[in-house]
Amino acid sequence: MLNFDSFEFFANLFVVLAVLVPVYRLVTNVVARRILLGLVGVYLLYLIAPRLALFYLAFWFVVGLLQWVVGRTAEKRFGTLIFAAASVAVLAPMVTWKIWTETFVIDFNLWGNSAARTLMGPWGDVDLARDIILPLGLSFSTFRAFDLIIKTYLGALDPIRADEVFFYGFFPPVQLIGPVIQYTEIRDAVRTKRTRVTDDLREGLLLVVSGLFKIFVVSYPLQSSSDVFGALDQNSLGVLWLELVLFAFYFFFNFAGYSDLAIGASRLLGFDIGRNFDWPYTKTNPQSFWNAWHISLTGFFRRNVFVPFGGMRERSQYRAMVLTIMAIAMWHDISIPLLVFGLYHAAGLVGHRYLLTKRQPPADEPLFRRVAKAGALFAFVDLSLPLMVVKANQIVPVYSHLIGVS
Amino acid sequence: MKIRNVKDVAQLLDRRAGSALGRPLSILRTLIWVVVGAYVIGLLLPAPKVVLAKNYYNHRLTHLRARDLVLDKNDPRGWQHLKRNPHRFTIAWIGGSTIQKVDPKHPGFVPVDVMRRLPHIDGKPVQINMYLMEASRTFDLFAATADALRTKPDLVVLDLNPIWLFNPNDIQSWTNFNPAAFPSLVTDPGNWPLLSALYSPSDVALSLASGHLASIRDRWSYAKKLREAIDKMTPLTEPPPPAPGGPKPTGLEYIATMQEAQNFWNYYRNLPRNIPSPKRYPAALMQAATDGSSLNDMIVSQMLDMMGDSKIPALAYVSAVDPSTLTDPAVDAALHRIEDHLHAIADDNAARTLLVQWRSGTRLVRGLKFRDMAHMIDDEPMVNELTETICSHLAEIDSSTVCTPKPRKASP
Repeated sequence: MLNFDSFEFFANLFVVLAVLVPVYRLVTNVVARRILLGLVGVYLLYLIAPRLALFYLAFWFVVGLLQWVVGRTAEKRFGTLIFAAASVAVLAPMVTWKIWTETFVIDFNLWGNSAARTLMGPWGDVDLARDIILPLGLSFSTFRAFDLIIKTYLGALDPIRADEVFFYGFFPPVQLIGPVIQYTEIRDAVRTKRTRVTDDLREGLLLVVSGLFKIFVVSYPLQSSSDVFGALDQNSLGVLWLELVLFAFYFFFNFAGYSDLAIGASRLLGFDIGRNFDWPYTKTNPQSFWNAWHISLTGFFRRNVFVPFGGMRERSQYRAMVLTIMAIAMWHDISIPLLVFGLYHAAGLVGHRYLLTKRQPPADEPLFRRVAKAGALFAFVDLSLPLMVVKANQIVPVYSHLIGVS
Repeated sequence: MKIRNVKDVAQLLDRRAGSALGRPLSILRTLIWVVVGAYVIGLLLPAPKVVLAKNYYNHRLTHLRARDLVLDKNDPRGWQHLKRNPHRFTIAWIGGSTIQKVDPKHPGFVPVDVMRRLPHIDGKPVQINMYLMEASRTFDLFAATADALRTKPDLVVLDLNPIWLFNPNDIQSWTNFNPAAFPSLVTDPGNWPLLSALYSPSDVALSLASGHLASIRDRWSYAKKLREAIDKMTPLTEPPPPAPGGPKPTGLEYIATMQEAQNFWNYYRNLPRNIPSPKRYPAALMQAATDGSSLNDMIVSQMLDMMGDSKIPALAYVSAVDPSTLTDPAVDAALHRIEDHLHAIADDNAARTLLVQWRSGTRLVRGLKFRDMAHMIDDEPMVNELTETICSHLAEIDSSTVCTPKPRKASP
């Protein structure tokens, strides 16, 4: 219970794609295409649990209304107030989930199920046979929705129509684990008739194979490394460090693999979505690491936190950096370990930027130096990973064991 | 050449691999090779055989002409078929925990005890193929019945537990049956609405692939073997399991330990914590929806229809409940409601070869002893009743049937 197997979602998606790809390519009407893809997204959520599909239908209905109101009032005197209220409304479910996790999860399932049974009649019984779920994909939906509201407010995007909201909200490949796409990333591809269909299929299939390889060949055998944090007393210092390193690879390959599946599935349909990981463990400094890790999410925070808080100005860049990384950390969980995680990486980013102002690295560094830097950065990142898993009262024991003091 | 992204890989394929995947035919060819590869893997690396005798219940059935066919609850193969022996009279007996006798000293099974009273039918030794699914719900019974009918037994007996039969709060528990039961269910268009509601596309695809590719069909065995091999490789020493009696998890941790979705709904809504344990089954029984508002109606109707259409002699009976629970008029009324509703559905699906014993065993026999509302400690009265019902039903279908039960045990 509460452990949904993400691969189940993708297994269903790929079976559906076997039918959807040719049908979608044959349909030329843009509205019909949007509705078709949206319906598939709803269906995939229904398969997880009808209550989840209903929740997102309600969520995106509200988002659709809000972005329309925000767009219409942006230039008005009270436009900012409306934008602020809309932002609070869009962020509210996710923030509630992060702060009152237990209550939210229980009520989400109970209320969602009641709604499913009320609206679906006898078919609502299906919902009770589905697993109990976390609000899967809520963060990614929230970010997509918030991005839409901001862009509409800033005038970067005109308010979009109901079929466009439906299409954007339920774009099938990104429902569960992202990437955090922007509407502009998928807006045009649905309108144009793709001529290089074979290229799409080829690149999509290659990405899917890459994702499957990362998940099953690399990450699956490393899965048990995530048990290391509950087995501190039973293992030697060497084993703990080895497992921590393996955990870093498990964490990366698993996440990157699923991102490849989502991007590959989009590509099969003819949508070009940017990569979500760019070999982050080979980077040589904290800034390039964060530019290469979960790129769509860091991009979201760069646009909506870093830049507005003066990240591009010398005077306020450090403050913007700290706020951005803290927002990324707090998104994972509002907890003490993630607070420490944020501060730790903020120190890394600020320190690195400060050193850069003092001395620029040579443009053409020798290989051994780059390898040494990448190794040091990997160790820096790896040391922070326990904070994403453990509870507050486990921080001291975990790190004590890792330095051999227990 | 540096490989930085998928376009670089595509270029590499163009240059070094004859533009593999670069043309529609090439994509098709590759997909065909993938299927051929999966087929060859199934031939070259056969999965470890499932030994039915190792099944939990089959330990207790050694030396008997009875087997439980159901596999692990996560195994998508669902069940294992035994080769049909034409020299035996095969009874497929489907049910949940209610077909057990839970006497701690002498545990047993209702079907086996029926076989003991009825060792031969038509001169052939009786063979019991049990589909025993703990915590089975109505759709699970439907899936198992469909499979049982497909194996063409001489008789199908279906145990309907009134506590769950029309309970809308729990219609399916053994979701691993989905791929295995698909070929049996899809042939009847009447089942399609149910399949569309309860099946996923991957269930369908895996079921179709499993029919032809052993490597797909036996994926659970492969995965188990692989997991065991990986576990041996890891240097990590796992901590000992938490000692019993330790602090009970709460909140989300507690939800995470729940095995079934039903546990959650019961804990937080349907059968709240303050209902004492002996009252939980009666409370669940009273939840039965008999006003046509539950999907169970369609499932039961399709199930009986399928049994009738098969022309295979079939008996569906409502299992007995503890008579002492019926002293509560509300519980008794609920059971009557369930019986009457089943009666109405059975009338709509009447068939010559199908007998629906819509009255609960409790109404028909005396002297039943129970551990709780659903589980019998002494099954003898029920076994006697079922034995005689089977014989009379078989004789009604074909008067030449030779079905003579052994005499009843003398009352003490």
